[in-house]
Amino acid sequence: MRKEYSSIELSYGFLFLIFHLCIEVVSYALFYLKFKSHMVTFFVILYDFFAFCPQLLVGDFYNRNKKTNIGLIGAAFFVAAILLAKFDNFNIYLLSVLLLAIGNAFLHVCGAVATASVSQNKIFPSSLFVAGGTFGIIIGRYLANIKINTYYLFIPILIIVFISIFTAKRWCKSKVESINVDIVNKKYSFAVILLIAIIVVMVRSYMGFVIPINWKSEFYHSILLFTFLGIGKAIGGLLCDKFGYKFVVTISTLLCVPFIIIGKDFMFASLFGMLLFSMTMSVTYAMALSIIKNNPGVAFGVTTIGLFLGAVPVFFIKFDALTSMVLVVLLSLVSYILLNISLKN
Amino acid sequence: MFLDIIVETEEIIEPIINEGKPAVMPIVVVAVVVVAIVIAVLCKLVIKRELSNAKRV
Repeated sequence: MRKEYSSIELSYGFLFLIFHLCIEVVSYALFYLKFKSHMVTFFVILYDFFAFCPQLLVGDFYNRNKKTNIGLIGAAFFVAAILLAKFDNFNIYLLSVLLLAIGNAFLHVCGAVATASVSQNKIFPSSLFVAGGTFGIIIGRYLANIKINTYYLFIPILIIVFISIFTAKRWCKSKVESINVDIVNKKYSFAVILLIAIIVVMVRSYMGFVIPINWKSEFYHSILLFTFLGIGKAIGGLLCDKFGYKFVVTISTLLCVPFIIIGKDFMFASLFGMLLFSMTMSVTYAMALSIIKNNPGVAFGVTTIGLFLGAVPVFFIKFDALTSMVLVVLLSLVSYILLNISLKN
Repeated sequence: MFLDIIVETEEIIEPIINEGKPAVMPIVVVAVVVVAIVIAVLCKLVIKRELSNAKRV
């Protein structure tokens, strides 16, 4: 197991942490600034679908056109979405949401392939990239709450453009060296392993909505919660590289449960539970990368489909606190069993 | 990134459940559903192709 990180791996990890932070700042600030609350179901599902599901297709597009800077394409979609959001018209707002979501898909794939291109057999740089989004979400929500002028959102877009151009030399060329991880149990077919990765992501996505949290009453509670979620995602990658994927699976899926249950009313237990809970992201992404080798954009896109599918039931079914607790325990056990059988020792 | 709605769960879920059918223009719904189906089919094809490539490697 490799324990050292090169300066390029760390610098790309942190650069794309900022990159992802900026993506979510723009997305969440614009989405909630212009949000039409009377059609919440329609717009949230629409946005989630067009942000998460096409990432796989964008990954495939990148694989065929590796010299195309997909970061700049994503930034162009964001600029168009901001300009259209100025119009107070239902159809134009709808178009703005679609452009925002598709831009989001391009930028996520850009971050995934850029970090994978420098990482060799390590997942930490990719997990740093993913962690950045969590911090961006809370900043974006805050900016929407204070009703920031949408033109200020061009600042994070400029940062996205700068990072896309600055790093393009490494990943935006005809032949890209991709991450080389191999963590899956060859006893099962690749289709089964990929299905398990999607199911575990679905479970994590769904659990994120049903975990009961009674203590969150102030905005700073949300900041703390998101900070711990982000740290958990980043540390998950680090621990996978240092101690192996099965170790992370065990602490993430089993150890998180008591803390989440106790944490219903106790903030610090809950924060620690959520930190553990968010660690499996690196495992599922690495599982997809183990099968879809040399195409990190598609591998990343597979996992984001799971995120969308896991979120859909939440819009239509709601459980009481006790049922939610039982679900958390059961779903954690299911994740543990599925991951354990699909990972090699 | 995606656990965001933990924050909004209380604010969003309640109105969603009590909201009933949103008043969206049927043509918009049809267009969105058609595009969504096309995306889903394309995703399936890409996954199928990647799995077949993975077996060959």
